[in-house]
Amino acid sequence: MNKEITKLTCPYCGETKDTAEGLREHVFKSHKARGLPAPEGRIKLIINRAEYEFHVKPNWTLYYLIHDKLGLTGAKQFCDRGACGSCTMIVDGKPVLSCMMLAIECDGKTVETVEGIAADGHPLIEAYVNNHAMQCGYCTPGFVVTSKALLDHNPDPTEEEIVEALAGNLCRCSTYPQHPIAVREAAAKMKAAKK
Amino acid sequence: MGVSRAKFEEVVHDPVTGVILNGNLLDYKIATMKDLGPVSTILVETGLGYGPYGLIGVGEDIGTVIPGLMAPAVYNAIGVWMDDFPITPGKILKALGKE
Repeated sequence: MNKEITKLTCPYCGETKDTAEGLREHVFKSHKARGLPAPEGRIKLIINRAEYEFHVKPNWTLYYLIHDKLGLTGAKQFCDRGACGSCTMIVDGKPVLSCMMLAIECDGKTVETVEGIAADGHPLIEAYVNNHAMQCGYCTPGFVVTSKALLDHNPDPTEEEIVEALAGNLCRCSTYPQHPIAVREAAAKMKAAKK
Repeated sequence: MGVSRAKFEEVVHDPVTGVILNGNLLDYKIATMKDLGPVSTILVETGLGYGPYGLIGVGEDIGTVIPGLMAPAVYNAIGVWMDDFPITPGKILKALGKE
């Protein structure tokens, strides 16, 4: 045994105790904790309704965690500056640029990616295919996720509202005129399904 | 894509060092959904292309054709030839001597 360690330090307040029993009693009584604090960088996330627990580094973005580490490659990285919207994910009901959000900030949040939207059988996917709202397809996941977030809080958007919501997503192939048509079609389908 | 090239996009170089100053999507502006009006596509089937069955690619040609159409349109409107892209409002005011 290492003789240099003669005292045990409390990880919450730095107070030292002589024995392990004394430390345990101190942690239970003074800090009302059940044990040691969680190690730094551990986060819990709900991604597409499944619970995950990650150990992340402070510099990892949400995009890096989900695309590179988890392997959900739907969201795409294009500009890495929060300018293009290709990496959009829905975090707690809001469309967020995942390349600009640190993973360590997202502890306890609910994330929805384009894979989750497709798995739910959302009518947006079919509407996008029917109206051919893509050419190369790199920006399309970002558009779909942003449209889904729009339809979540506004089930029957006008064309102006759709343009306003999707103006933050860039598309180099200029598929812009097709997106409002596709979103309107999906909204009509959702309305019909509710009735 | 063509409208975007004709009206907004410009690569800015530092005149001394030659370094690109706007090599990212925040400073190199491309058109968003708000900048474009409705588009109607007319396919002219000539069958005179060099590919098999007389095919010819049309997708990316827009990028050169639209600016080439935009400059004569501006000439028709203001009577001054623009010899530099993108055609921004500032350049038009300068050409009209109203800067």
